[in-house]
Amino acid sequence: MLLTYLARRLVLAAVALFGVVVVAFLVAHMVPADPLAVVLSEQATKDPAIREAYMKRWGLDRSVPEQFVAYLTNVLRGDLGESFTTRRPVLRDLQQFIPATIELSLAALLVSALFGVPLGVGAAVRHNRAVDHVARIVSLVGAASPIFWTGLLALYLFYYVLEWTPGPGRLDTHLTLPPVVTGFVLVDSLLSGDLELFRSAVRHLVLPALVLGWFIMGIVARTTRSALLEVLAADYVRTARAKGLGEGVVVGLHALRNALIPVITVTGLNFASLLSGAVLTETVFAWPGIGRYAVTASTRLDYPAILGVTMVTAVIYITVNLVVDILYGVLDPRIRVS
Amino acid sequence: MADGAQPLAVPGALGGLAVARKAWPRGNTALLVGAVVVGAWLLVAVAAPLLAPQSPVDLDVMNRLEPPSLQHLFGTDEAGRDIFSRILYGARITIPTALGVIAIATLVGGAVGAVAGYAGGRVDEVLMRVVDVVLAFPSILLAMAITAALGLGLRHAMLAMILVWWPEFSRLVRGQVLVVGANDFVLAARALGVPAHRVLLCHVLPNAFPPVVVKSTLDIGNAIILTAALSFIGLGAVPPDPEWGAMIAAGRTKFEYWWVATFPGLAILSVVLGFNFLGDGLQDLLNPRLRRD
Repeated sequence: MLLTYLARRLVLAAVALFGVVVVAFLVAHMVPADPLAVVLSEQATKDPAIREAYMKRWGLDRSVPEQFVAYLTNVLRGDLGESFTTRRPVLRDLQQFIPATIELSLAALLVSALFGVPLGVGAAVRHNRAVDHVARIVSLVGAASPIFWTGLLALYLFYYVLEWTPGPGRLDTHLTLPPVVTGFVLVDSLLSGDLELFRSAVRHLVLPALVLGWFIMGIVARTTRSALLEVLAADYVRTARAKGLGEGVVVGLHALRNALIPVITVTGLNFASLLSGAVLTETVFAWPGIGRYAVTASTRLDYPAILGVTMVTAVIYITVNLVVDILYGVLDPRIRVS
Repeated sequence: MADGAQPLAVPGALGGLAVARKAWPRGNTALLVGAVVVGAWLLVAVAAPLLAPQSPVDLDVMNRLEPPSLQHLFGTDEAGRDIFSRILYGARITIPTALGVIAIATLVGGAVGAVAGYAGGRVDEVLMRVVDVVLAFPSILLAMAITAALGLGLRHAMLAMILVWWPEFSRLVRGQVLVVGANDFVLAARALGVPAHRVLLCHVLPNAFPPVVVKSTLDIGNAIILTAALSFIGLGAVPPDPEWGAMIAAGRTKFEYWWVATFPGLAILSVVLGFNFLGDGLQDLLNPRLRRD
């Protein structure tokens, strides 16, 4: 039973991955303009010999199915093409930029948990009272404000007016990146033993992490609230209270532990919206991650680069979902059957 | 919020009077607030030329980057244009774009989902795998890639958003059709020899409607944000057009001129809140069982 379940999950994931490549190929073929015009100079596009050489090099002279097979083989080999703007393999670019995005996203998740969970707990415990209303307003406004605008307002207030935080960027301008070991500046600066660098990196991380964290905090708070409300109505909580345990112990030790399971699941499933938010946050804060890379690429019509980012994020998404599904199937036998 | 007022004219068409009567005594504040805010913005969009004190595009270099004053309620931008007037005119770009995207995505996605759910078997399997694939992409990245491939501009951004959005409605409508289709009245209609397409159109879909209406309303807000985001990046509306996201982008590097980015953002926030309230209100109205608390 478990094996059938795992096999079905794996096949579905493989189908989805194949589909992702198909979609990327289709988008690349939607380009209405002459694809050679993007890479060649105007002079060169008129020269039939150069045109033919380029058509041949990228297989544009072959049939569409043949082109797709070639594309698929390249992708499977990890060759996502060459960026028009950086003139480097897209995969190399992504490897360079992805740690900054992961750093920012993890920090944002931390922020959303640090603020969102207590807010949700407060809202559930003081149900329909002031805290609950605050939590509701926070998630309403958080969901309705464009994150690029929130980011600008935050920069205006905390950087320009109050001067509490540094401006956009990942480090102070007079500092240089530490030698790359992991690609994560926070880790690499510590490894190189440069505390000034580390402090600067942390100070630069705070504001974008708060902005991106605020964006998903509403979801965390709302999920915590409803999960906790449900758990608080359970029999074992009543038993705990009946035993005379203090409210703090009942909520913090008994109820919250179980309520956090759905919170973690929901947060995990909101990985996609976290990434979407990261794209815009990175743009506003000049954060050198894959989001900003994608934005620069798309405005310069550098579609190998933007498709590379898109495809890699889709692959990560499918993998994360697969892992979650498998874990669930292993942990909860009921899911395997359905 | 007078409790005596019938909130909206929609219930008759959507959920039946009985539902409306049940929802009514509790006072559906969200629906009222949402309807008022959205209604006001739609009015602004229609009447912008009458309401705007100045032209949204005429340059006035003598009055560049003026702070808010009685003459320029929200100040002026880097070309001396009146930001208040531009925001009013902006309602005619962002709101119809979002409405169009969601309307088409609902229709196309809904049709695919209805067919998948009703036909079942292979058709269902194939269609849903396609849906899964599109939903695996973070929507903004796929929209960016498609817009980049098609070429910049609001029209292409709109098409990209539709291509990204329809699968969400397919998934929802398919689920609804499966739930509604399992009812006895559908079996009865089939047993009476009603043709499949009529069963789907006349018996199943009308009953699958409420959650779709709620999602569409809530998604209009999301589509407004995505439209603004694409324009902010530089993929949507082109500069002289008073699109809200593009206006925010114009204030990006000018911290000392805070009003340039602040007011268009407030416009987005208020209209999106309006649609979110409207959606929540409709949710309460159409499905009292799901009412929170």
